[in-house]
Amino acid sequence: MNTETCGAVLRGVEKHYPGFDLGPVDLAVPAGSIVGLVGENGAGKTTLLKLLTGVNPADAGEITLEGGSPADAASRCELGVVFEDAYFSESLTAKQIGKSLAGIFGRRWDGKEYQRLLAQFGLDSAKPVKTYSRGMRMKLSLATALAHHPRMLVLDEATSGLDPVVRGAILDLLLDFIQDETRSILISSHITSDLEQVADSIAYLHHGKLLFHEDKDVLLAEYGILRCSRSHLDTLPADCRISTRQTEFGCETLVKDRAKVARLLPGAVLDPAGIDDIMRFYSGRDTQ
Amino acid sequence: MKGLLYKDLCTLVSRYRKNFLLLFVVYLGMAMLMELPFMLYALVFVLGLYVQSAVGFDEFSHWDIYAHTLPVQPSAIVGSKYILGGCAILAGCLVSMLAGAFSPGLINGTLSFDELLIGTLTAAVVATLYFSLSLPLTYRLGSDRARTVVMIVILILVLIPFLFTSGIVEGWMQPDDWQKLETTFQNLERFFGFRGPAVVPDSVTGAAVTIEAEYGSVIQWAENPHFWWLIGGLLLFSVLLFAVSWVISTAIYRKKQY
Repeated sequence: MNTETCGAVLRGVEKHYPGFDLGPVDLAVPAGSIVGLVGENGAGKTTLLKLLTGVNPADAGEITLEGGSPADAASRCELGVVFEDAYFSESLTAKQIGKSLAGIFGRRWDGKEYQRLLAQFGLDSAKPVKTYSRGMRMKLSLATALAHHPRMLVLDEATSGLDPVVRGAILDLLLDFIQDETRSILISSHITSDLEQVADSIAYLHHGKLLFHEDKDVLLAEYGILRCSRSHLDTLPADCRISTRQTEFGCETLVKDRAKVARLLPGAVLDPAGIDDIMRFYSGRDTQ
Repeated sequence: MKGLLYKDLCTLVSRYRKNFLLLFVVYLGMAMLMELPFMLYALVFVLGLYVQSAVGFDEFSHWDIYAHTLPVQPSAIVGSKYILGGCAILAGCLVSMLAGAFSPGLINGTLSFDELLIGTLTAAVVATLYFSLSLPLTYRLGSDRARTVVMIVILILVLIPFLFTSGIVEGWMQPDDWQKLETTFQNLERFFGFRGPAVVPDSVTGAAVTIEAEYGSVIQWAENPHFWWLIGGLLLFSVLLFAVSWVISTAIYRKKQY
């Protein structure tokens, strides 16, 4: 992958806290793409996003954000961020937030675009944020993240707790954002169906380690859930088997290279695996 | 910086508008109608306190995490609080002086302009010192724990003079040493105008008469030019401490992890 055309590149990034170690993580977010970041609670998704967005410095490794470092204000000018619960005080109105950000971003801030987004989202700019519903707050966060025309968006659980209609509207907006092929998005979410809908690739963080970062279509085509007896399972090559659960009816196994497995065990039940399935089995592998 | 100042100002106004208006009317009313100029000085201090609570609001909304993703430097984020705090104290002084100028006390002559100025400047010094102490602690410990620590520090600062005046320190020291210390204190008090001259000429004979007179009135203090040096020195000290506090808060903020 040509890292020069990437919105963000992480190389060997590490962060250590008492009782938790992130990394080393290598991850690239190519321009014109949406990378979905998945992982269990406490896997390190938010930690990773905080490193990428300049909130915290990494203990080791190198992070490139739009050609610079997240520590540089110029690089952060190219960044739009939506965090789940880090924002302005709820007593402010959207209008006041816009004015404040206009003072922070200077000429980069597009007041008309902000007004357009507020109108598009149906947000009353004169009302304090505390009167907004959760969905409206998320839309406001998105409007403030987009109004300075960033080249990269980072969203941490931006769609959690929202109804399908609002989620759909936000996902449409994300798809619009990357249309010009120069902008990119890194989005973490527990709602994997959203990521299956919009992401181009999926990065799976597990216990602070990046288990894989693969093209979503390849991932969904590659992985499968195999249901068969133990004796049949044992005939499969080890590299095809990720993790197995023993049930009273036989074995349920997450397998890789679904086409090969289907060829080797033509009589077995083999279903496509979703991102949720992949996460469940990887997580189960550790507890076995 | 402009955007940060605007955000803090809007947050404070939206949170405290009614509270402040009520306080303003009550304090001003008490100062003007009941001839209690102390309420004007308290207003200076309270205005400084309001700004300090902006840090607490940031903490509550996790603003600092979001702010780190914006194209602003930590020095600007911290700096906006200090600039706003300084402006609030200055505004408090202005209100105090203006209101004092039209107060019945000043018009009737029961309050002198010097008293008003000294009271306002002292309140500004106290507010600045409090602000300078509490802001780095708030950035380091969080607003709740910082409040407790600041209260403990203030208690200690109040206890120190109490140890001297209550005779506790005297009991710990040798009588000669205590005598020397007491003389030094008295000389300092005399120098700054809190105590009258040790020797005055007798009005009839002209002979030197030794007296011990403690001055209890601000008007008496203000007659001594050294007293103004003290006020000026305290102002300068508080401004210096404010600057040092700014530097320390910025250093703490830079190292903070979220």
